[in-house]
Amino acid sequence: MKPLIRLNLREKILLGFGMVMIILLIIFAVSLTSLLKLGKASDAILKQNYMSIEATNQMLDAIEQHYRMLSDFSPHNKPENQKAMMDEQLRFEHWLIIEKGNITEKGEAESALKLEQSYRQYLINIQALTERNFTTIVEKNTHLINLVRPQLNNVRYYCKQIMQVNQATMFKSSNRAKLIAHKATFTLILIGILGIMLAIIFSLSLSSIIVRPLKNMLDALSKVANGDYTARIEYHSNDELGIVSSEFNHMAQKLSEYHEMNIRTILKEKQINEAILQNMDDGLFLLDTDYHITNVNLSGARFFGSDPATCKGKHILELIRQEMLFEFIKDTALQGKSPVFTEGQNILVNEINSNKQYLQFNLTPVFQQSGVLIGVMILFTDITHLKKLDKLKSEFLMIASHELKTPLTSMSMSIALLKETAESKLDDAEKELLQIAVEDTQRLKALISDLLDISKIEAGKIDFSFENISVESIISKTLHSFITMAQDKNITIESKLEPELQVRGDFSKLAWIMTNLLSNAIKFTPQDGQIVIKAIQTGAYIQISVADNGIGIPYEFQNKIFDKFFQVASYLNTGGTGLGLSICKEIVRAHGGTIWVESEPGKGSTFSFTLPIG
Amino acid sequence: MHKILVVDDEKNIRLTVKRCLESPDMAIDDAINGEEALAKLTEQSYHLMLLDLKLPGIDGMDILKTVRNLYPDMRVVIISAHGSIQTAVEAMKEGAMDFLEKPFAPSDIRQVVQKVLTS
Repeated sequence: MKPLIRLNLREKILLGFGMVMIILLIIFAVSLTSLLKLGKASDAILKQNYMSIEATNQMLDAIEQHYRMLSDFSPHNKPENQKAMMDEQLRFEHWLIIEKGNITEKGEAESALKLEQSYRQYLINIQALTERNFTTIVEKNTHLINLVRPQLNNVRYYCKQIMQVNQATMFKSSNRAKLIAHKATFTLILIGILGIMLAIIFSLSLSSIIVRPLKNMLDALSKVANGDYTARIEYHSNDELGIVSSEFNHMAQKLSEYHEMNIRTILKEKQINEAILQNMDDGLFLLDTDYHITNVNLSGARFFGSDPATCKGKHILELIRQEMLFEFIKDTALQGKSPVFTEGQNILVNEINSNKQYLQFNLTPVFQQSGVLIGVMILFTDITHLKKLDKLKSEFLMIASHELKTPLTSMSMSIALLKETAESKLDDAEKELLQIAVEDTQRLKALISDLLDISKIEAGKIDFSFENISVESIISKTLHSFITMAQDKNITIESKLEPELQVRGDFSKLAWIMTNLLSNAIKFTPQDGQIVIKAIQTGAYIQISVADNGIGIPYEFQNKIFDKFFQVASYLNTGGTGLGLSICKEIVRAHGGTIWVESEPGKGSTFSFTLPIG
Repeated sequence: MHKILVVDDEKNIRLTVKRCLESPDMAIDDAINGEEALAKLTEQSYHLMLLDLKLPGIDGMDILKTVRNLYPDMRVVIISAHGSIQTAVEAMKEGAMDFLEKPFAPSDIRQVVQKVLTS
């Protein structure tokens, strides 16, 4: 098989067919030789031995005729007999010559010689008989029998002998022909079987030579297709399949290297990601769509006094008993998008081992590539330190504003006392300067007071006394002090309250909010404006709103007005501290409600806030 | 003639309050801390004491308690920067007549003093 390797596929196929052709040629040659042999054998029988037999038959017949005419011989019919006898005699000699030229068998030549001698003697004895003159036919016949008959018998005997020899040979030849035919049949069958077997062997080996590597290739291909990049085709040859195999192996090698590189890269990335996830300070939870924990990092588990292994598989509510968080998670899963939180809504107070911990959470839906939701990711950030800092800041602010109060008191006292006697002592320019001092100490007072309020609320230093209050009572209490202010600008204030609304809250703080909102509304509503106060129930909340048709708030500032010290630039110098709305926000938040504004510049603003129902 | 004692560790507060209340029928004295106030009280009696709650040494609230025991006739008004409902309520419980939160205006002081002295 070794030389086959160097042949290409075409040559192999041709070689295979060539082999079958050669076998066919051999069969053809053998058949032909056998047929020729058989033909030759038949020829020999026909041509030589048959001629000898024919000759002896003719000779026998001729001499029998001759002898019969001799016995019939009489003086009366002498001329005709002599002619006929002469013909027979010639016929005999003619065939004798042929026989003598057709000696083929062993002993045939001797027999022919003896035949000729016997015939010569027969003729000599007939001559001797004719030279005598017999008187009677009987006498002649007696002589004939005595003198010629023995010679005739000799001739007959040798003729028969030649005939027998030839017949024996013919028989032998016939047998030989049969034998050759048999042999030929046998040989042909043998060669035929051998040829068929060889053809089968060649076909099988040829097809297997071609198919085996193809099968190997197919196996290797399907292995590679299934991700087994170690598959190789073990087929080394110079033919087309060999080239394909080596190219395939090359490709598989490259694929394998690429795959390994990819796996290594992916593994590395995975390890990095895993390391980041496990070592980050933020807590990360992955929930399935049934809200069971499928994955959690160390920080996440520790936040809730557990470890990742115990957490896995648990329902999120089992670990974190926070209905609010769970509602947000359900929302995220149902809506397929991260919820938008208002400030402070996504903060969770967690107490583990009597340590208060503030956790800020963010929710993200997790989708498969197909777009199917597979879960929700929760990210907890520990903001306790921020809360502490915030508290520290508020406390600092509180102390600072306290400390400012005493010098402010003596300052404002001094200025006020000065002013009491200024009228008679100072000129107008000096009075103006003094007035500036009066106004700005007023402003400073308001500022410090607001600052103190907000820092107290933020630091949790203000105690709220919650009770059930009627909305109507809050509004009537505050409205009271604005009646003159509104009348001055000819502003109408209308209350549209649903009857018997009750909220749970701190009366003085809520009055403070209403005062602030109403004072703003009057401040920013021009002459002859209108202010509407509304209170309605929405679910578990009461929504109170103060709407004016004043100057409104530019869109770009609307989400900033609740920030500390924020004042819309164009409304500066209106005497505000910039803290009123942020105090409102803090108070509303302390009640568990929200506050917001809807405003259209030039058309007016509506401030609304919600409070839990009482 | 009404005799008033202003107790505050801040010199300027003492000064402005004194100036503010100055009048022919008022005799105003001042003390820098609780100890001095108590010493002055042993020397003479006052009708009214304006008392700061936050003082070095003896705390304002303790002075309030002491003077209420020793001089039940003297009226006390608290003047404090640390105004909270809680401290105000506590001071009232201890017998203070009123609670003035800093910063106050001259009119506030005069009004309170007038009210307390005439009651």
